[in-house]
Formats: sequence, structure tokens, C-alpha cells
Amino acid sequence: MVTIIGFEGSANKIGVGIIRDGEVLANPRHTYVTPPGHGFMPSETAKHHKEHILSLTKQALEEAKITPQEIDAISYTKGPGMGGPLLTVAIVARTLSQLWSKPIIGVNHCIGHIEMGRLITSAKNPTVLYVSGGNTQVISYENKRYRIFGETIDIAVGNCLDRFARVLKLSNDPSPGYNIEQMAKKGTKYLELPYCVKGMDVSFSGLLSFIEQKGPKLIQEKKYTPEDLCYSLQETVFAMLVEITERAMSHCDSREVLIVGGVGCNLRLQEMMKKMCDERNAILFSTDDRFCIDNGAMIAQAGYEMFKVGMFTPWEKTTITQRYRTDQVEINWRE
Amino acid sequence: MNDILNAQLTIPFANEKHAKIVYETLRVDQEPRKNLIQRQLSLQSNLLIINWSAKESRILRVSCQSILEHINSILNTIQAFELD
Ligand SMILES: Nc1ncnc2c1ncn2[C@@H]1O[C@H](COP(=O)(O)OP(=O)(O)OP(=O)(O)O)[C@@H](O)[C@H]1O
Ligand SMILES: [Mg+2]
Repeated sequence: MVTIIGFEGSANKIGVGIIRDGEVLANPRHTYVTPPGHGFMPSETAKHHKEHILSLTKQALEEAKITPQEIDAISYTKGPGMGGPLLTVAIVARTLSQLWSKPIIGVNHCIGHIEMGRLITSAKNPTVLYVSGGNTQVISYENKRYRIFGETIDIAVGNCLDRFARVLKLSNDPSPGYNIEQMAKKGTKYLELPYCVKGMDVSFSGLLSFIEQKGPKLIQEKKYTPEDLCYSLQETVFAMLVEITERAMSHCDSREVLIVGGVGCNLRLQEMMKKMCDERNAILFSTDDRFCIDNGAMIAQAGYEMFKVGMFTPWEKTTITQRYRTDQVEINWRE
Repeated sequence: MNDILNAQLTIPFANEKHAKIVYETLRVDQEPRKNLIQRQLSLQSNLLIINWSAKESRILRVSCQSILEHINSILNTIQAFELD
């Protein structure tokens, strides 16, 4: 039996998860929600994490009904993400590692998303679409690496949604993307937006400036409702994502798609992806907000895989790093 | 050319074990702007000694403050989770 506790705090969520041999024993999380119109800043976010990490750790141990002695290793998010919040969490992880005399494992956040998706869905060898506030990547596993097939050349899709939510002053609770999704359900009139796919890659910044500039005026003139704009935005960006995923699938001759990352819990994205999968005779795997939004269990699960192949992090290397690419990690736990 | 600015802190902890945990936890991270500020940590039984030398007072103050915040967070963690 292997039991891992995982700590995640690379963005505005702080989460502590406990995994035992593929079973999620506990996964509490707390989100730093800013007022409508505002994003989250590193130092306030770090402060938020500091305020909640210890009580979440207590809660996780209680829910899992285990003692610290039963834990085999501590894993934490090494990066990528915001420096201050990452460091806050790494410092607690290092302290616990000494207090409990447990080895420590620094995890790549993106790998955490992928491994959690694989665990929950049992997808074997999927083409992965990783879509969140900081990342947009199409990934496929090959020869001990998660290779990035295509990605955004500027901002992440979640960032694009979040920034438009700010223009509309939508609530950030539970997340701006969630509220865009609810609005989009009531939209009917489609506004054509710049669609930008370049080979395997996508770009959202042109589209964002277009809708940021034109949107408020169109609403004011009553030509489109905010709901119409949310709907148009979703349809456009998701179509771009489906296109590059399909391209990667045909390249790799893949029959499985796995969507991970916070934007991945969007049901419209899942529906559009499912349609493409059905046409290609492929299967779509996705998870809900408990597991695709940043959480501690995903870091515990990646830590679990690393533990099993002995990928411990030497003490001097238990640092954090704001940049840390998905394809930098050797995936020794897969064939 | 600016003068080099120095700061030193000597912090006593409840016991050697706590001082060692704080020391080991803090010594991992490098100052982000190594050419502008240097920080040295050392341990003497239950004392943690921190020496800074910096080229700018603002950077020096930020580093002092963040170290104190980290120490606070380490101590809170010890208090909550030290095994008997
Ligand atoms: N239902 C939803 N529809 C669309 N987007 C959503 C939905 N729920 C959450 N999101 C978006 O997901 C993003 C958050 O994703 P996630 O929790 O993976 O963390 P992150 O902070 O973006 O981290 P990283 O980029 O490092 O993985 C935000 O942009 C949020 O608006
Ligand atoms: Mg994430």
C-alpha cells in the first residue's frame, strides 16, 4: 500500500489531496475568489494559501482517516505557476517532510493534470487536451515523454475566458469560466470572431482584443446581449481547440481523447469534442470540476507514480520554478 | 557607485530541532536577483543567523520581510503538525 499526500497552490486554488493506490481518500480545496472585474495577484494569493493550507491539511488527514505516519511521501507542485504562491506551499511541504521524516517529490503541475485524468477515466493512451488558465496544449505520450504537439502561441484559453469575464464584470465565484458557461447557455445570436489556428498551434490574443474592444459597444447598442457574446466566444475558441486536437489525433492515429485542466469541465467543450470523436470512432474521456480544476489529489497522483519508480527529489532540488514545461519531465512510470 | 548595505538577524528558536528545520527549509531557495543581493544562513545550536548584503535598500527590506514571513509559516506548520 502506498499513500501520498499532495499539495497544490500554483494559482488561485490551494488544495491538499491524499491518494492511496489509485483511490482518492481526501481532496479538500479552497479558492481565492477576487471581486468581479479583478484578477488575482501573486502576493495576495500567496497570503490566501498561507491562511488555508494548514487547516486543509488537517481536514484532508481527517477525511482520509489516516495519521501522518501512514503517509509514504509528500508531493508538492514545483511549477509552473506564480512564484509567491508556489513558494508558500513548497515551504510547508519541506517543513512537513522533516517533521514527519518523509521523502519529498516535486511535481510538474501539468503532469499532475494528465495523471489525474488518466487515473479517473482509465484512458489508456489518449491524445490529451490540457486547457486551463495558464496553459493550452495538445499532448501525446511517446517514448517516456509527454510531447507537446500543439499549443497556444500567446495566452491560454482559460485566460482568454477569464479576461472577457472581467470585461463583463461577471462573478469569479466559483470561476469566471464557469459563469461564462452559464451565460453562454442563454446566448442565441452568433457574432463572428477572429478564428486563429496556425498548423498545430492556436492564438487567442487577437480574438480577445477584438471582443474586448467591440463587445461593450455592441451590448450598449443592444445589437448583442452579454449572453450572445459568451456564446460566440465559447463556440469560436472551442472549435479551435477541437480542430487542433483532431489534427494531433490523425497524426498519432489515436482513438482516445482526454481533456484535462480547469476549462475541461466545460460541458459545451466536452460536447463539441465528443461530436468530433464520434465521427472518428474515438472515445472522449473527461472529468468533472473536482478533478480537472487544480486540486491536491492530482499532485498526489503524479507523486504516487514518481514514488513507485523512485523519482524522489533531492533536498537541494526542492525549489520552485515559474516555468516548467510538460515535456521536461521523463515519464519513467509509463511503457 | 552605491555602498553595500548589510543586515543581520539572529533568531533563537525553542530548541535545536526547530532551528534546524527552519534552517533546512530556508536554505534551499536562492535569492532571485543574485547580482543585487546575497543572503547567507547559518545555524548555531538553537540560533539561526542570517546575513544579507545588498546593493539596494528596497531589495534588502523585501528579502528580510519575506524571510520573516516564511519563518512564521514554518513555525505555524511545526506547531500544527509536530509528532510527539
Ligand atoms: N466550466 C468552465 N468552463 C470554462 N472554463 C472554466 C470552467 N471552470 C473553470 N474554468 C477555467 O479554468 C481555469 C482554471 O483552471 P485550473 O484550475 O486548471 O488552474 P490554472 O490556475 O489555470 O492552472 P494551470 O494553468 O497552471 O493549470 C480558469 O481559467 C477558469 O475560468
Ligand atoms: Mg491547473
